[in-house]
Amino acid sequence: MKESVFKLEKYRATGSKVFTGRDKGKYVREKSKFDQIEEDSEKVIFVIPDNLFSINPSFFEELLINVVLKLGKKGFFEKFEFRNAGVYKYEKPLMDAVDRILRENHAL
Amino acid sequence: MMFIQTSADLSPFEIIEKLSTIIIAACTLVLSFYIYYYQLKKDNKNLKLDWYKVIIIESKFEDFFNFFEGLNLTLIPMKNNPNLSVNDKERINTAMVNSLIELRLDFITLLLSVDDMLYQCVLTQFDELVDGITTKLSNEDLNLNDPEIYDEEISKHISQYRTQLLKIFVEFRGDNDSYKRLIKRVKDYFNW
Repeated sequence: MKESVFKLEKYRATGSKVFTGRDKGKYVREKSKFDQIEEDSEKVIFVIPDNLFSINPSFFEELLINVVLKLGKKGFFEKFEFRNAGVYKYEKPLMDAVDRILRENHAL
Repeated sequence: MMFIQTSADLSPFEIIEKLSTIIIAACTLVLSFYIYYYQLKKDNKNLKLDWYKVIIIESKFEDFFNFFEGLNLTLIPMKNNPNLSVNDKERINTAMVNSLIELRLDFITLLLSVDDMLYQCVLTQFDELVDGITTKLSNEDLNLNDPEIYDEEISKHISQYRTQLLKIFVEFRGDNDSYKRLIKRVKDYFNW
């Protein structure tokens, strides 16, 4: 089974402890070819970095929009496994982002 | 046959008269369709505005003001308190982000039933408000317990976004054309 690892740490701005904003989410999605990683893999390990202050829903929403629309909520969480390298509680902003994506596109 | 006039029997003026009648009739028909379509569109817009008033303004707008009141209460501990640790700021940030999540579920999402662009515009503004504060909170070089710096960086930021959001709601007229003008004004206001 082809498994890919996506490390969000790689796209941290120097000295920054936050991932916020749609612009940043879009930048990371395009720079990392995130949609292609999903396309080429049967499983994706998404690593949440250590030493984080915040990842806001706006960032997650833009980063994940295409894959969530493609896979749906259930498919997305089956394919993507989230591993936390630190202690930041990413779950709530992540769930909010997924909900936003699906609700805005009337998939819910 | 004696009632049918051929063109050979008509003078140039009569030909012009008949052509004019046809053209005027055609224009009248086109105008009638246009007025019908325009009136239908206007009625739909009025209906949309009525629903906007009922669903958003009369029923749920208190949530908007409660959010800002809660936001100020959440953030104010930073002012005049030099002893706040990074962990304290993280807790404050988490509380703020969670408030936005609740507001989206209770209030902002309702806008989808009225107008998609209105929803997007409002959500974007709230995201930028919260993202901006997150960035400032995470900046350890920014001395937010100094009242002047707090007022400049936080209070002013909140006030700007609250005003702009209120403008969006006040100026919503139910159609996307006025919306595009409004979005342009928002961008001009924030120098984007």
